[in-house]
Amino acid sequence: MSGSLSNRNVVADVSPSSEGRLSSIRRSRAYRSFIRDKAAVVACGVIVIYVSIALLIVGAQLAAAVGQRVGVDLSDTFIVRELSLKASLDRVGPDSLPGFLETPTTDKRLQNAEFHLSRIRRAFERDDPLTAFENEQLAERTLADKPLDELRRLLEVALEQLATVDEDYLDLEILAEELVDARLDLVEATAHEDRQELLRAIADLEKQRNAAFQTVEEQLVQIEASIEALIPTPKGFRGLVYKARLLLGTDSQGRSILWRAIYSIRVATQVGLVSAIIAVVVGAFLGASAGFFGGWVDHAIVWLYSTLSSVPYIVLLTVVAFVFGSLQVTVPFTDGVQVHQTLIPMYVAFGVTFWIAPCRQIRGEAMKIRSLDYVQSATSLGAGRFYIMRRHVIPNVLFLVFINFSLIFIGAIKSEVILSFLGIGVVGQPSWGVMISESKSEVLNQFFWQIGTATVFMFGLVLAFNVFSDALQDAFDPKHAR
Amino acid sequence: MWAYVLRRILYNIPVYMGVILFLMLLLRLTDPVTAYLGKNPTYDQYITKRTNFGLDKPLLGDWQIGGRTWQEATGGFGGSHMVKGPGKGNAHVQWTLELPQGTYRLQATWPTRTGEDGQRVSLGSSGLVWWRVFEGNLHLRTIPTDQTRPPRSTEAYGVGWHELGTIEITRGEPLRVVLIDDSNKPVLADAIRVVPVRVSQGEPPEPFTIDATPDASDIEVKDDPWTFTRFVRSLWDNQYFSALAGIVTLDFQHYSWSVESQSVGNVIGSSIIPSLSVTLPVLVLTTLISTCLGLIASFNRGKPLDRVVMFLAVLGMSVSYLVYVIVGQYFGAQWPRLAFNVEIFATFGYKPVLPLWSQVQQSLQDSGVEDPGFFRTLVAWFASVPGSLSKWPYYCLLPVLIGVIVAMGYDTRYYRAVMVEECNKDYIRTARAKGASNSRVMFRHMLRNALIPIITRVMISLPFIIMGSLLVEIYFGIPGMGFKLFDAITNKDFPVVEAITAVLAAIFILTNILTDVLYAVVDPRVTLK
Repeated sequence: MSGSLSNRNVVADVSPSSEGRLSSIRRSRAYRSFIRDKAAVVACGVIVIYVSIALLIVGAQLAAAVGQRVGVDLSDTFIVRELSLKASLDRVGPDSLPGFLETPTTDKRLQNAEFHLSRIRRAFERDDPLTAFENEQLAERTLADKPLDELRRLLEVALEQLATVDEDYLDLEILAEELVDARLDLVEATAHEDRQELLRAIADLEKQRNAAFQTVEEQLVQIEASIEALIPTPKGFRGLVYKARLLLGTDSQGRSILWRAIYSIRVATQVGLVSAIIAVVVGAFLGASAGFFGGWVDHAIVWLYSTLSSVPYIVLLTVVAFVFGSLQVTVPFTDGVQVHQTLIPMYVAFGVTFWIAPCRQIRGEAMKIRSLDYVQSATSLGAGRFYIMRRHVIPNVLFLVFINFSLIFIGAIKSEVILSFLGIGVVGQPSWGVMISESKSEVLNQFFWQIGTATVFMFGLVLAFNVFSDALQDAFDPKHAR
Repeated sequence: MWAYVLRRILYNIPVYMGVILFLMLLLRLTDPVTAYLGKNPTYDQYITKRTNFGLDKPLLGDWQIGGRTWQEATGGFGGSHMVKGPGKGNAHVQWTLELPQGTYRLQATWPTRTGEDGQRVSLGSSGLVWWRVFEGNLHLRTIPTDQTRPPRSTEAYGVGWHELGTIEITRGEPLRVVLIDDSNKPVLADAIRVVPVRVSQGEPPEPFTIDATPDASDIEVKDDPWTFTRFVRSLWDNQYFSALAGIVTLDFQHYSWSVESQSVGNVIGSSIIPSLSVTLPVLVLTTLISTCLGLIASFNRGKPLDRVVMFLAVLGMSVSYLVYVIVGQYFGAQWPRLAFNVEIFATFGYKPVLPLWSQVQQSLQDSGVEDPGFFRTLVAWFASVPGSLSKWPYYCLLPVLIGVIVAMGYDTRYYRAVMVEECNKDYIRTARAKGASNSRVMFRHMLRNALIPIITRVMISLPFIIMGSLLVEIYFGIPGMGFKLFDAITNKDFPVVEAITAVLAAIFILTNILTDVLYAVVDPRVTLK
């Protein structure tokens, strides 16, 4: 490895201009080996997509904040509005709505109709229904552009329909229960005549139930039409956005799962990036100093990381996140935001936990480099310690920095899920961890949309980083088995 | 060899001391007692919890030379107040008042400044400052106050006053109002105000205030000066060394805060078996399966089989642990019940997989044996092992399966890398050249040599085995070490958190030493380094 890497440095020494450096990187063995790995190139593309979505969200929020300070209200611009935290926390429809492809059950449809109608009725009980509904509005669904009296009449009709369908639905349930009972009787019955009679009764009940089901379905279609007349599904672009919002369903509080999953990209990237930067910078600095200077510095740093790594990683993570999460400290440069409301406890926990691996590896590598011939000869030529550090040590351990960066990124995203589940992770904003832990009770009700979405989104990023860091290791470290 | 072992042991002593120091500093970042008791504890609770956990001693040594006496400072009622650094209740400011029998309201103030928005902001930083009120020697009440907020119950003489409470003087002895320095932040003493409500004879007098100045006659100021002897004593009689001594002598007599009948030793002892009943099978199964997979993959390296196995491993690693647990619980325990009405696994809960000694003893006593001796109990214990053990699959098999699936990806990749490295060694080539068969090369030559990294990995995971899997234990309600730790964290039960983490670190270091020794036994080159 030292051969190829020092070779790269020689090339860089000869042509220090930026263009020359770029082409020297292109000619390096590591680059060629990396680019040959098709999966790694695809993974790079995926990572770029995720990161650019995160940047877009951050950019939109920054633009809104800057606009507010300057006096331009950007909060109604489509991009800024949809990418804001509020959009992922707002109710957009009934609870636990299934996503595309899955048609809701009759039971669920009835609940949805009740949900919409009760909201409209509540608005009409106020003095000024229009403004009252304005506050109740669900994303794009607003009251139809009709005279108030007509709307009121439509509402009354729909409510009447709802009352009848409620009764019919009750009948349907009773019939279904009777049917179950009759079938149980059939299993127990032994006499031939009894069985015949029961079979006839069951056939009769089935017919009745099917008829009742038919009426309920028909009535539901009517009610849905009335609701559509009251609060029409928007057309055109707004309709498209509305459809997209409900594409993957809603969670148990009626929030758009897709919007939450997209906003979580930002949270995940932020957590991964900040933790990885903290851990890698601290680890690289301490590791390089330990390996290069040796002596007491080395002893102290080795002692420090042996100490921290003697506490099992998950315990360290949990305890640090918990302690920093319960500190009553306000964050500087903000107006009274408490530390436990931010992501800072997580950064600290990840920083404390994850710096050890890069430190250990870089220390080993730096020790090896220090004893290499060309470093020895540079020393005998009178090169200073810092010159050697900058010229020979740092460039040659940089690959470890990159590999560790991407490994820590994965570690942070995955640990975020665990911390959020334990209640000491992300607070007050959506994240994949929060979504997965919230779907705990939904899974018991056979609702898999939220856990599925969060898992798929997270899977994409983590898999891409896994493939990417494997390819990096293969490219730089021939010993890493192929 | 022995010199090497001794060196490893000596090397790990400062590391363990560092672990305890780190944990101690970390857990003292917030005041454990106030974090546990909340904002309104009683003084007795406060003192009991503190002495119970040894928090009344200095952390590392009595360094604090300044801040041990009451200093005069400007600001507050009457233009000046007194301030003292954090203390342990040995110093105080005491107001003595001669009052006729009757009922009085007591108020106190502490200095404030005007903030940017015109609101009053307190100069104090301690969230818990204790006032104790006595009539003569009779303790009337102890009141906690929060000096981080400005006093604002009433307004008089241009400052706000905080209501301490209503007291009744029945015996006619002098009233003593004592502000003690029992706090982990500086304490401010400014002035008190007495508002008479009713007196036994005549009209109640006008409200009056008494400002705290060091030379006033009705005020007693007691300092807690720094002395050299106390400092020297604190160098060994401190929290740090008592914690170290407690662990070295295996003394876990502190009581848990949230479950007051249990000592931390009990908490840890009762949680080891439940943890092991899940993690031990996981370790054994994963090691066996993933070594085999690694061996197969490395032998077919570059071929489709290897690629498929490795790709599956990466896929498995990219899904969150929590998803495995949630989905696994649903499809393992919930779904069979809903769909087929069969109960294979428990969704939540745990029954001891090994009979409890005390229960066996109890059942013997119930069946008429007066005093079951050790031997008799032992026999009965063994007799009831199969019965208890038969509950294991119902409660623990599903968590074990989930654990195996999760760990498999990581382990298979690791073992494959180990095997591939062995594949390229000279001795394998020699063996092949000799004409050894494939299986002989694999199991006789390669696996034997690869055993060293395998043993290391297994050894390194031992502390995690004892720790148990935090998530699985919480999710399936298995009362192992991880579950207890999480319980303690959410209940802010600091003695248990500290004990569990310290024990885990100790086990970790012991296994480290053991691994090093094993290494030295297996590979004599190690000792030469």
